Amino acid sequence: MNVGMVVFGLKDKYMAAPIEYVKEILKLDKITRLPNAPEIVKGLMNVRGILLPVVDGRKLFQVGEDEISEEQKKQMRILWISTGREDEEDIGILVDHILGILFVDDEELKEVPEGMEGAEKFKASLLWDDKFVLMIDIDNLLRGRGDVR
Amino acid sequence: MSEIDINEYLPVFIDEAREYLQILNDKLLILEEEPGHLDAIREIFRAAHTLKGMSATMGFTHMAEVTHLMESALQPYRDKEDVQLPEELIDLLFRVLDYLQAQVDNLASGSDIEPPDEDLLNALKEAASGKVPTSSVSSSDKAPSKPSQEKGEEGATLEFELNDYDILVIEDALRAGNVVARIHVRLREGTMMKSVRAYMVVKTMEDHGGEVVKSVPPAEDIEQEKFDRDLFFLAIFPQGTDIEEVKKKIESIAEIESVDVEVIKDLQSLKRVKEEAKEEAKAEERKTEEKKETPSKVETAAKTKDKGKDEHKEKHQIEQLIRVPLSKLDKLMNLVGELVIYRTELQVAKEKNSEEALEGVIERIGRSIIELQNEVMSMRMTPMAFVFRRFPRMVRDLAKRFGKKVEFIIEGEETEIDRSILDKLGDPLVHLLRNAIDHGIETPEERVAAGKPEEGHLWLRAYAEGNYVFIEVEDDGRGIDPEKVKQKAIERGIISPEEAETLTKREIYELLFKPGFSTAEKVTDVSGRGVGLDVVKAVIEQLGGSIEIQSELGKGTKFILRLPLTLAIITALLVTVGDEVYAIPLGSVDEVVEKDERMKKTQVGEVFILRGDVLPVYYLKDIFKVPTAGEGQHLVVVRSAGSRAAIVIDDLIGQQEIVIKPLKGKYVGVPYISGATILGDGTIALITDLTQLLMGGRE
Repeated sequence: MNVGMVVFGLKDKYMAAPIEYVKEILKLDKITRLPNAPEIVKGLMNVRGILLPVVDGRKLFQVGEDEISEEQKKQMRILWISTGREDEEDIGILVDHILGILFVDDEELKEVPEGMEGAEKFKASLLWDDKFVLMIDIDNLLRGRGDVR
Repeated sequence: MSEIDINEYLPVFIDEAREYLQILNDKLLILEEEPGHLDAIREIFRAAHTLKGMSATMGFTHMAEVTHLMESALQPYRDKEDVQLPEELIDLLFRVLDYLQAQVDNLASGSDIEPPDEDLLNALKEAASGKVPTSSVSSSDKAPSKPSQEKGEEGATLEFELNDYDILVIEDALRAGNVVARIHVRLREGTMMKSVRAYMVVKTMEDHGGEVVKSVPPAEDIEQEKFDRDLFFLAIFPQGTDIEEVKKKIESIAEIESVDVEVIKDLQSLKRVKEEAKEEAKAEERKTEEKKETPSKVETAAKTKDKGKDEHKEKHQIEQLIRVPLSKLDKLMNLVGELVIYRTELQVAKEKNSEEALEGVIERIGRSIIELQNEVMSMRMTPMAFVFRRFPRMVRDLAKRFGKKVEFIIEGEETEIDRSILDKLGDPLVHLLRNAIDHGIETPEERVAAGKPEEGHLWLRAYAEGNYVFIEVEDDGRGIDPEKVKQKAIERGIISPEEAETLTKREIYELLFKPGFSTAEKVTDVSGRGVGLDVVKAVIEQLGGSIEIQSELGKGTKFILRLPLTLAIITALLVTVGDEVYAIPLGSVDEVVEKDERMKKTQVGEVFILRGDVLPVYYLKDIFKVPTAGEGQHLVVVRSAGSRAAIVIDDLIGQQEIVIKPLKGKYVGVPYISGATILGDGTIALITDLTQLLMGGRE
């Protein structure tokens, strides 16, 4: 069976989101700060009248932070994640850049390396050319048991 | 309360009961696939509990009894992981469902409720006492209609299930000499658009003055083509109808293979027909079964499972209905019509590039939109009486049952609230009132001994304040003993003895809302079991409200519910702090004052002296940790739940109608913010929830 995913970059790491949960890919627009929100939450973005909470991908996946140049900012995108399920909120993940959309046979998906930090946030891994790509676990992202604060 | 009052709420009861029966049905289907599905068990338990409450309120004792037993039977399975519901119990639950369904149908058709048959009642009682019903019970003469693969076919495909009303109609028809006929139509193999053919058959019957009393499968299944090739109709034709003629007409419809018509002479022959139909349908079912080989069956099962999962997710949000007078809809239609015209005018104004024309249109659009908004809002607002009026009877019945003397006082039932909120208030209020009667108010002897009047008082109060509606349930009973609550919480393992030491009175009362906490000593028919307060709190919070307990030992207890007036639009004061915009609901704003020498520093922090009142001062920039804020120039005096405070802000933008978009969930549910709104220029303003701040600050 074919698995589709949107591959994105966060600093030197590559990750992918299952395509069926990516509603749209948005350019970075004004984000309104949400006071007292968990640290990983950048704020709210107005997407055609819908308030989309935007989560900072770098913080979420702990890839480390540093200054982002204006040039880099232009590359940044927001993955609008939506499961379409009534009781689950839509969220946006702010990523550094999008590499493309990839379809692979599900046999190519491997387990997430054991003992890796933050392994629970991912569902699978794969090698794409020479790139190591981690596929994020949407359920964990939206419902995850752990505290996000 | 008179009979008429009950009738007034009967349609609502029927509507709601049907929703819950639907949930029962769906969840039972899931359980049949997966007897250990804990969520489904809990859903069923909750639905049964609610149905019980509703039935008791309406005085439908048979239904209340059956659902009570059902709840008891499920009790042991509800809070254990890894539990399998015995198949016999599931079967029994299906029978209960059938019974409840039949009763609701009876009510809907204007008949009375029938008591459950002995057999069912005994089996239930046995199950409720902890014994798993034996299979011999479940396979007794009235075997439960186990659903076949597709739901909606339950039982109905097997026979004409005639209710009392149907039988009455048929008896009448026979007496009046009308022709009652049973018509069996078989479609050709591979017929396309079966529902269309079925429609043509019905149409033909109607052309001859016929009226279909019953069909197998039922009409909606026919519409959705949920049948194979056979259709059975029970129809009444006018006296002297040539039934052979009807038959010929039906046969002439394309793709009809055969038509069998039998004229019913009396009800006896109908019963015979019933048996036959059963046989035929069964034979048909067997055939279908053979056709659908195992793989497809597995597929269906898998599908149901998946679906069940999704449905479980969605079922929390039951579709709500509002009854709207047609005249209002017409008015809305007119308003929308006007807007459509204005759009054309706008186009014209743009082409003409005429400022003047443009201004005119904008003004007209503005007026229409205000009117539209008011119309929509007025449709949604409903007086509390809609819910409150059901209670006096319930309170009286309960008081009697518990041997209490209660004077029930309702205040402010004319207070209006958004219908969608009102609809969900029924259950929580039932819980609170029951608690008050069961646990709060003492028996007359106890009261006299405590030096109180023999008769207890129970108040149900509603009033609006700002953009909130407050509902209070107050009794002058024994009050809640914080020590007892503490002990119980420690016993239940909710808190440790060390933690208990540090709790304030308010925090102790909060424990009452923890899942699994129940102060009821024994399980009674109406309260106890711990379904109570945690559910109440969950419902209120889901509505964007909050709940608080005030109690004094020996004096009484007061539950205060705070609910938003509406979920949609409010007027708010827009203010800035640094470069951020916040909206303060105008309903809680008293006034705006300059920041001047009336502000004083004291040992407990800054205060503002307003005409002799000392108000605590809060800085919005501190509450929201605004990085770029100035020193602040104005103070907004806000009021909520009886307390006032002055909030320091930088600047005022003005007041504006805003559309509330709720913020909730893992990432955006933050303190002191109730929602957000999008302003005209696309920027987002956060809506402050200062009540939360004031209530928190009072401790």
